[in-house]
Amino acid sequence: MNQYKVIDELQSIQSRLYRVARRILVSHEESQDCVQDVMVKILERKEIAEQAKSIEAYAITMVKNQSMDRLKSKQAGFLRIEEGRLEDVASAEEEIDDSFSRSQRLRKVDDAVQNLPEKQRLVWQLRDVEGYDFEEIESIMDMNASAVRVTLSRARKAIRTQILGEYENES
Amino acid sequence: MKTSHNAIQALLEKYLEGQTSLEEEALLQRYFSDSEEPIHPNWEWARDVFSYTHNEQQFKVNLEVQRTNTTSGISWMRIAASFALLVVTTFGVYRLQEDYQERKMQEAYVETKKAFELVSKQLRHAQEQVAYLDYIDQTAQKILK
Repeated sequence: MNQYKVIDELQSIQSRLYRVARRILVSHEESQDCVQDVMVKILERKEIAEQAKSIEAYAITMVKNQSMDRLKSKQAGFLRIEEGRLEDVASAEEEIDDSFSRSQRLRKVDDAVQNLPEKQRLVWQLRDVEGYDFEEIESIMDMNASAVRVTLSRARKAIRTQILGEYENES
Repeated sequence: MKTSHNAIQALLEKYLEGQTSLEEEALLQRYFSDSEEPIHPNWEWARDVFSYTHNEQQFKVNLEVQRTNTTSGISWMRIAASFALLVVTTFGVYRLQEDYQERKMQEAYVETKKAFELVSKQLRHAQEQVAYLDYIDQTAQKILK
């Protein structure tokens, strides 16, 4: 595979890479940084692009590992991660006077997802947003088939439970 | 799209257990993120979740895939390669020259040796001739006595 094909492929999956990084890192700048870094690494090391049967799976795995590492070093530094959370989706529709506006509802889901432990959050993101099949998620997460299903099920149930709790608080 | 209430309920149960296929999840997403109509209160959470995932999927970024870095990588390699070539040729030429000089010296040595040998041969020859003269001298003196 030549360099330009690799660049094209990376270009086409970069939003996906970004969304996965952002799910862990929350901060836009850091997620962007992480994705750039991974793309440069893949381009620099030609043999990666030649050997990996799928650049996408390889890149996603790299992004996942790097986000986790960055998060760890951030937490080690006692930095709080509270920067812009889904501002882009919510702010546009903010002041619409729906009794229970769409943006508010989306924000609640976002909070519920962000409250999940990292592993659940990632598995949920890979499946419910990115639409990967189970084999792909197993290899990206380095988990076995049943562990993936159990983690995913826990994540889905936890999100549902938290949203239902929010509804009760409202009424 | 008319999917029965029961079918949706069953799919949601399956979804929560992590047992739905990608196709079934796509169906749920279409069902819930499309519907503007009031939804069964028990399903509000599902509408929110699937609207959220639908929304997330639309989120795009446009980052620079760094071409500059790769081209600079290539030109860096080029510089390294031409430098290596330069070193090799310089060294090669130097070695060749050294070789040439050595050969020349060898030749000169051989030539000089030849020349010396010639001289010494002539010298020996001359000595013999001189010895001969000596012999003539002796005979001459015998005759004169």
